[in-house]
Amino acid sequence: MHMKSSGSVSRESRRTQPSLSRARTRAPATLLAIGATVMPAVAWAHGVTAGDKGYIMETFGMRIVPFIYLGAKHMVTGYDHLLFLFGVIFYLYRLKDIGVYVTLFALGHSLTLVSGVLAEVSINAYLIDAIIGASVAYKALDNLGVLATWFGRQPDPRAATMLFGLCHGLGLATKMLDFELATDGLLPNLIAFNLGVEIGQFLALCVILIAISCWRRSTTFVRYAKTANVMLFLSGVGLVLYQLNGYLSPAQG
Amino acid sequence: MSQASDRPDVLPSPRTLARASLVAVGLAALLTVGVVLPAEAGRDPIGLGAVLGLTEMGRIKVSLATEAAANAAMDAAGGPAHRRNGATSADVQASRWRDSMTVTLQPNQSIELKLAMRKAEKAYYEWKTDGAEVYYNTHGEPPNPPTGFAAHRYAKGTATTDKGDLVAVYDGMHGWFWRNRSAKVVRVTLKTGGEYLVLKEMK
Repeated sequence: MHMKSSGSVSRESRRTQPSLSRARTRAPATLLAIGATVMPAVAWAHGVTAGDKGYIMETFGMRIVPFIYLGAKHMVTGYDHLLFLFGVIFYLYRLKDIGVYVTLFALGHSLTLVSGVLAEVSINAYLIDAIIGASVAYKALDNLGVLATWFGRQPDPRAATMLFGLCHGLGLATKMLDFELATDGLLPNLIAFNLGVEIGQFLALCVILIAISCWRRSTTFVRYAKTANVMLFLSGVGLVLYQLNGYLSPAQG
Repeated sequence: MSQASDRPDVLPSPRTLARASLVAVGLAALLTVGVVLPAEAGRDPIGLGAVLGLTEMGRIKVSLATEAAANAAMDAAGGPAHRRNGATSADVQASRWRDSMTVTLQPNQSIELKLAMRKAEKAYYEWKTDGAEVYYNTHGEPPNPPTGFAAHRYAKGTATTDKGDLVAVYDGMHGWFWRNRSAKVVRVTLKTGGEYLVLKEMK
């Protein structure tokens, strides 16, 4: 039995902290990543969501340093972003060129990250991660000189880097939307996250550069440069297939 | 890019590389101990985490992980006995309120009180703590939601009190999740009225 509320009740409904809620759960797309950035969502009925997402869900307001950290963590543990960066700088020797390409990439992903979250552009995470995988394969083919053979001339690598930067940013935005950010402090947190992404990218780039510079000094670089790019291509294709499998599997709903 | 014109003569010297590697290793160690450890494990051996405000993140993550593991173990064991924390049904005002419940939360402890409601039924509520702020998440879910079901969220935040209406978005359980994020014991008193079947603690 239940009683009817007797007319007298008209309390103002206070809806503090509305959030960009995404009624969407999925198996972790980043199973491969050690220290995956997003733990699988656990329904409220069973209590808690753990990990970075749990932290974000239980806090609110402007949190600059934590979001810088989360952005950097996302980049440093994001093997797909790192593989693409590796491909981009594989044949770049001058710091100036590296600066130009990395800036184009950063510009691309910042643009879609910020606007994607603010406009709540939600693309299926598997599909966008598949496109990111494809960007790795593309760059490997570019490095192998295959694209130039196919198209008669090499497609502008600067434009491609910028374009794929836009795709990577959409992937980042999808991840951020999955965090169900509170609207309170959204913009500063978002900018902090983006700043963190750039810091993480810079740190990762330093390590990649040191490693590849060491390798370049050895004669094995010339001998195995092609092999490395073939492997990069296969990793990209592997990522695409893995993500498409996730997209097409029934559990995805 | 024109690979042929990229001459290897711009390669950094072994000396430069060795120095860069050393700096990188040092920086990596510093970041691991000073940033990652506080932010992931809540441990702060050199105090940098506290300065940056990252230790809190680690502590929250650790407590969430512990709780998630405990819940999973409970589910695996068939799911009895979620510790009951002195929830007493009392103090039902003769007025519009139909139910009143007071729960006691230890630091970091959480609890859920929910109303069984049919779709579009409208309940009203008011809750307040005896002082400290609690994290709250007002949400609802249908009966027996599938694993991974994302509950409908009405509101969330951190406060000492909240009141308003709750209009059920579907048949099911709709109500409040609270977590004590303070360092001392906090009591939360909830009063409800309006259209619903029953108020109860979720286990």
